[in-house]
Amino acid sequence: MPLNLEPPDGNRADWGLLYRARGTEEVVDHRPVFTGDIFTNVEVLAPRAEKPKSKTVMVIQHPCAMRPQGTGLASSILVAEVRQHPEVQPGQWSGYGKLMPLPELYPQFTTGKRHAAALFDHTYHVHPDDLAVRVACLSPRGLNLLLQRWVFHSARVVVPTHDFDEVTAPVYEEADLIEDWCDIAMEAGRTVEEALHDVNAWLQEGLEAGATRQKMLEQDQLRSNVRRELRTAAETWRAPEAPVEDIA
Amino acid sequence: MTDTSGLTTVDQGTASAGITPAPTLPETGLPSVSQLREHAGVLDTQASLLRADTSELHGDLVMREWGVKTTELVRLDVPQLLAELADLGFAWRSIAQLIGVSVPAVQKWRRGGSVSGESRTNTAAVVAACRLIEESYVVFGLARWFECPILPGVPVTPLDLYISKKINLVFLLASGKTDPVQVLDVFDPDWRDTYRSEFEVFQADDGVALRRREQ
Amino acid sequence: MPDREFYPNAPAVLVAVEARHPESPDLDASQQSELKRLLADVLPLPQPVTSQSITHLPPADPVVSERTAPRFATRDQATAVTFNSQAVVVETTSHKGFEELCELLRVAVRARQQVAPVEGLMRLGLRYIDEVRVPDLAGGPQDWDEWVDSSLLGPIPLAASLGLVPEQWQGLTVFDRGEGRKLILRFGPREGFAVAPGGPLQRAVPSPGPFFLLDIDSFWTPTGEVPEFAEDAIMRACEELHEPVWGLFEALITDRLRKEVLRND
Repeated sequence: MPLNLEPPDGNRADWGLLYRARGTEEVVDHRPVFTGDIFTNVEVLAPRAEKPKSKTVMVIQHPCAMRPQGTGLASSILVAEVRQHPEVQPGQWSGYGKLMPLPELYPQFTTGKRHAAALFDHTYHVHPDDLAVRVACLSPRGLNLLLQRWVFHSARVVVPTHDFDEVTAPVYEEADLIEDWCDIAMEAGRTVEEALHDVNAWLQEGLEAGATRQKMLEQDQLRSNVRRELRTAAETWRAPEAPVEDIA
Repeated sequence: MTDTSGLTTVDQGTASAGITPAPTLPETGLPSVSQLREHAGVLDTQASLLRADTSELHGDLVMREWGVKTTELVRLDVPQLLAELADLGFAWRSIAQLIGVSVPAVQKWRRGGSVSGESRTNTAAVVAACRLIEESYVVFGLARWFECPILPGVPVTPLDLYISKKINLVFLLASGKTDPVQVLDVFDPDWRDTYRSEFEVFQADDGVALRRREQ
Repeated sequence: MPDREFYPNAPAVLVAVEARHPESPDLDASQQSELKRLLADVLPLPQPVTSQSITHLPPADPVVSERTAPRFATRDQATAVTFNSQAVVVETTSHKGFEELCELLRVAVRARQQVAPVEGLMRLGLRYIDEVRVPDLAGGPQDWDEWVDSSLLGPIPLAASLGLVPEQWQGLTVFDRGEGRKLILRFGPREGFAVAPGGPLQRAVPSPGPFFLLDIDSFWTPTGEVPEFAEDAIMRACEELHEPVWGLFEALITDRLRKEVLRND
């Protein structure tokens, strides 16, 4: 069977499975900024434009390319504009190659305003500090579909989403674990900055034979062990050195 | 014992020996459906077991035990059930998928938010399945087992089977009595095509990446 | 009558149609091969089914006998046709509409008559087994009146005024449609499953919680002469058996069930 851009779930229009969180009530502030995150009120400057404009955007930079030094975000993040767009039905996902459909991005609306899309022909580079108001995060399925469509738009190659999943699963897991750690640590009295510093140090901590817990996440057989260990450590483990700067 | 409709046979009735039982009514036959039937109080001249295969009978018993355990666990606090799953090492996104809700919904329940009856049952069913597998089969690291492919190179996991409402295949896999290829054939008859790929993961200088396989 | 509505989340977990004929000899290997060839396009998986019978006529010892009947399934093992010594049975856990079911029956009957014809249609039955599952039954079994017609609750509405707490009930009604046609409705709240998962037919397995059973069995038996086991006559009879089923189902459910459950994918 020839390979095509994939719909989220066969011919079912179960759009909820694209998202991890929608709306400011669901989005968790201390979750690391990640590919597929959607932010509002972001100042972007189009080429040769005189003044920046405020837009809703989606981060489309590959998760592995967002933190070149390991923890801190790159100083320039690639984003695509998000605009209202008619609902793209499951059978239509093999087309619309210039965008990532975001049906029911805004479930609070009852009209066509609930649907949107990220437009690959309207991209910008922004500073991470400008990504302030996050309104949605994608699920692993949503992320892999985004990457499939972005790569198709950029290189005219269709890569199956299950291939992307092998690459994105470790980094997605890491984002989940950081969120988990912060939840537990903040409940135990840590500030979000302290918790983020601790968890990044814990993930990078050198173990036997040069391994780190961050590296262990690359193996699906080891992820649940790291998870269990993290849920125990988060309450009391402290980084050997205090944080010196904010880590996004 | 149950009849074809999963109906629990009720009490035979006070002083019922002399009372004419209700007439037995004809039924359109269902040869593929498990039937264990006992006519209350009467030794039937012919009892028919539609399958002689004990492994299929065992499968029926496992499913019923799953139902019994779920009924017991549904009385517990949902936060307590969620904590049990977290202690096993499941990711919150996996727990949410197993129950059939969003991650924020699960987080809301952990903080004491209200839970619908259906979600309560689904949560209890997940915990019941985990306990049943741990008690009945040799599975080390339950969460890891759920998250790892059932066949190397094919990205279908027991988690995927459960989410697709194929819990019977999950139990079958856990029992070790089946070939994973047969399970995949049932789950997705086209799996060989679906998961064929020209790409492979490799370690680039700056992290994992994809490249085309060598032909 | 309004057009039939197809629900994305219909509660049918098993639909079957059975055409019974007089006892016939077991099919031999070459006949089974021929059946396999004729059905290969729609039902490519051979999955013979073995049944055991235990006959016990005291004071003699029980006698166990075993028979294997050819059975062919779709690759997803959600649909199958069984050719046993007394019937051709089509079953599906993935019901896509009466027309498709009927067409499978046609193919199966035609194949049977080509390979080893049988004489006479002794019974024709069409059966729908529904597991109605709903989001909430916080108030207990009596809350089923929000989702199914009150006629299915029997004396339950009287319970509260009498200080009684209903736990379970079972109902069965036989409707006579004349000319050998009857319809049996079995109903009542249950736990777990009406159709056990793990059998040879694969089904979607929800959590094993409470559901309301609607088991509709519409069938015909000859009142006079036994007709031939003829494809066209069987198809016509099947249409007649199907005719009251949808109307009955719609009458037994509430609008709330339609809106909140059946129409939600």
